[in-house]
Amino acid sequence: MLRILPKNSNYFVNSQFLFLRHSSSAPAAATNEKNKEIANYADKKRIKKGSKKIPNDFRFKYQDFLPSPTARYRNSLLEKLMRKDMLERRSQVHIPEFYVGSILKVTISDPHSQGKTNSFVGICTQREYTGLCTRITLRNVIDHQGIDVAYDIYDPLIQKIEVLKLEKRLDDRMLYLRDALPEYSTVDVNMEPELLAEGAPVPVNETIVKMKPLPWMQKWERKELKGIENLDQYLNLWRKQQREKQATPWEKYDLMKEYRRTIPEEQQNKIFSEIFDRINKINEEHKIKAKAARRTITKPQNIR
Amino acid sequence: MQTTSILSNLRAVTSVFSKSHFHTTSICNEVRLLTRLRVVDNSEIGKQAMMEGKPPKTIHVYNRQHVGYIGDKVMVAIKGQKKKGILVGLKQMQKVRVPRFDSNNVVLIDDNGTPLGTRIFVPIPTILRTILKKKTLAKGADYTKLLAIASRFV
Amino acid sequence: MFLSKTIKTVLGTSIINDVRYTQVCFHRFKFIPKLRVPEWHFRVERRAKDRDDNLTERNKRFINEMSKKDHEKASLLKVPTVEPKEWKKGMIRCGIVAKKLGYYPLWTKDGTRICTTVLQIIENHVIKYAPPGEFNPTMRKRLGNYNKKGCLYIGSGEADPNRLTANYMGLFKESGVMPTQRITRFIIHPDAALPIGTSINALHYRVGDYVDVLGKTVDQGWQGVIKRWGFKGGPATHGTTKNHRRGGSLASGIKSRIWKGKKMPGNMGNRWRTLRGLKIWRINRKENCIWVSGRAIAGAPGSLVYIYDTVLPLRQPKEPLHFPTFLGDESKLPEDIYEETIHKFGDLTITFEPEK
Repeated sequence: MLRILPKNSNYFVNSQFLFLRHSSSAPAAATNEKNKEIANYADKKRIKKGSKKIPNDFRFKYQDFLPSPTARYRNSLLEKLMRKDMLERRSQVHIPEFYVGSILKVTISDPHSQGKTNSFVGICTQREYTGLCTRITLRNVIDHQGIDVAYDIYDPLIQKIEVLKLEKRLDDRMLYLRDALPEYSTVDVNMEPELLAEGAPVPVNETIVKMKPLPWMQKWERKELKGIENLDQYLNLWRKQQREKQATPWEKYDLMKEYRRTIPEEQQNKIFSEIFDRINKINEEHKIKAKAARRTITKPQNIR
Repeated sequence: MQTTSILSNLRAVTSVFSKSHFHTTSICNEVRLLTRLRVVDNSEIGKQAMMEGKPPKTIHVYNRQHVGYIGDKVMVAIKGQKKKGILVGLKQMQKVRVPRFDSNNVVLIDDNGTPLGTRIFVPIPTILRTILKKKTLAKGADYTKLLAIASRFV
Repeated sequence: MFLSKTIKTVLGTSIINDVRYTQVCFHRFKFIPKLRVPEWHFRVERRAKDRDDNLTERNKRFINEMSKKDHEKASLLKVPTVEPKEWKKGMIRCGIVAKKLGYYPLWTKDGTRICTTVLQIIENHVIKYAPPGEFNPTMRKRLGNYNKKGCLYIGSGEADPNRLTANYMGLFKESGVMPTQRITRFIIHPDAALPIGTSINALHYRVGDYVDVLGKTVDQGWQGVIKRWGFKGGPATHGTTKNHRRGGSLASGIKSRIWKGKKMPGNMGNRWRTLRGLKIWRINRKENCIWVSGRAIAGAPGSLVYIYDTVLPLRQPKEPLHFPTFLGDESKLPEDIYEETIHKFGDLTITFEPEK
């Protein structure tokens, strides 16, 4: 029986699946010296003459630039047009590096509120779609009320996206926080940004979350999530039996599935080399602006 | 595997390996007839109902489709009485920039739109401002009074 | 006694290319059998058995060289200059063949998102023009008086000449245009005629105007009555025997037969469907793309689609269209033309003035 995949498999594009895959068969493990030579030669052949060396973290930082891996919707011209517009928007708003589990503060122009701006602080629980359609969901618990807000990153109403705490979590999709105890989703609204040293690797927050009793919004026990405490204690016999029945342990060996979920390294390099210069320039400009903004705030006042 | 985007809620999902051949849609979390709501203001009747563990049930949604959206007026059965209320937060998937709450919140009002309580303890979406203004102009009753008793906007 | 007016007119027309006409019954019936339109041009692709796929490398290179020479000849085509004409309401101009690329979000200046589809206008070249007397189609649709309308033959899409039949390529000899993947006929007002060899690009349309887009829907294959027609089927439980996804009753007793057009399982999709009144939000003249509202254009991404000026009476253009096509100076226009209310991505973030 064929396993029916959801139509829009955009949903598969997440950092966990952005490992490097080569479109041609990968060179064998370089154990002997001879094999090492062969591997080096193959590497050199793959990297074209005069191409830029793209840092490894580009595919995490600029995840949105990678198109959806679903072959049906791939079109090079469409992607090219989108990338151009994304860079234009990025020149106006600094879209920082963040992951699911990081704490973000999003400020938007709100036509409904009195001051015409509105900001929301929360944990990023999921990151959907790619390109101009990229959407994030932030979650926070305010006044004992859990609130989720979704934002299109490239929405022109967004004034600022700040990362208050840059970190990763054990899972790529944290919608289970809705069924977890509220303390795990609570974020201080007046939190100060925590800065990381430049060049330091992104820390992985290994907190394991405790759940509320059933009923849950989704069947979390079937999703192979690492960030939840021992799930069995919440389940009854029927749920456990169904989980065993529905389990697909062969999926991790399914190479074609992985192939279909990722974009090969060569294509990634091509895309990033196109945007490399422009995006670095944009980042520098934003850094300068941020520095200038900080300078004006800390200007000393003459109090007499 | 189920996604929680709005599009997927409209798509039917079949579990290929299950025994039963039921064709079900994913959870919609709509507010419609007989939905239980959470009273979020400090009105006497609301507080008592929530404490007893008998939350108000929707009897009618004042809407063409009879499915509530944020800012819609609802008729609610609470402690054996009929009261009107305004939906102030929904568990349903919302559009971008509109907050989605973990519970279906309601603020009780009378026919003129004056809220029965004096304070709302829970944050309220800013989109209510625009929606309630429109409703006030259309209907005659002043629904924007409940914005004055809100403690926080989101 | 069963021969009515309709049959006479149907049988009266010429029978072409093995098309069989079924007997139409009473003229009171609303159902008219949809006859397959015979192909008006020759077979396009050479049959696999006739193709020389097993050529040696040397011969392949030779053939490529020769086709390059043909291409050079085609590129030296001198197209006579066209004079712009005055457009009046009701004068149909040429359409365009485009490729549906996919979904693209755009935002307006007050922050609302618009779902749009990008259509890439692939190479469109005029191959032939048939003036009103000459054009005589086999299928006559309700498009008004054919005697007063001409027909423009437009070729679109690149094709490998080695794969095409000699007969099909003969259609392009007169014009000197390189053979294309597809030839489309657009029925136009005689004043909208374009000289042979003219290429039509995205600037044929304007931002803010409305278009109709015709495409062939995705082929779903043989589908049951529930998916195809939206029937509800039968109950899942309560002892129902083998009636979970069936259509139920076929007819009631009066006529003692099933009406024509009864909804039943069959092939779903693969039908021509038009979406009317789609607004053009943005045009990119460099890549020849137009952004058109909506995302329900028939066909999978990558499929070809036909664009026409809209037929809807309330969406007619207020200013005269480019007639017969855009003949101005392209370089004077910006690369990306946006509709007035669209927010350009390079513009400042949208802000609202606070209430006083």
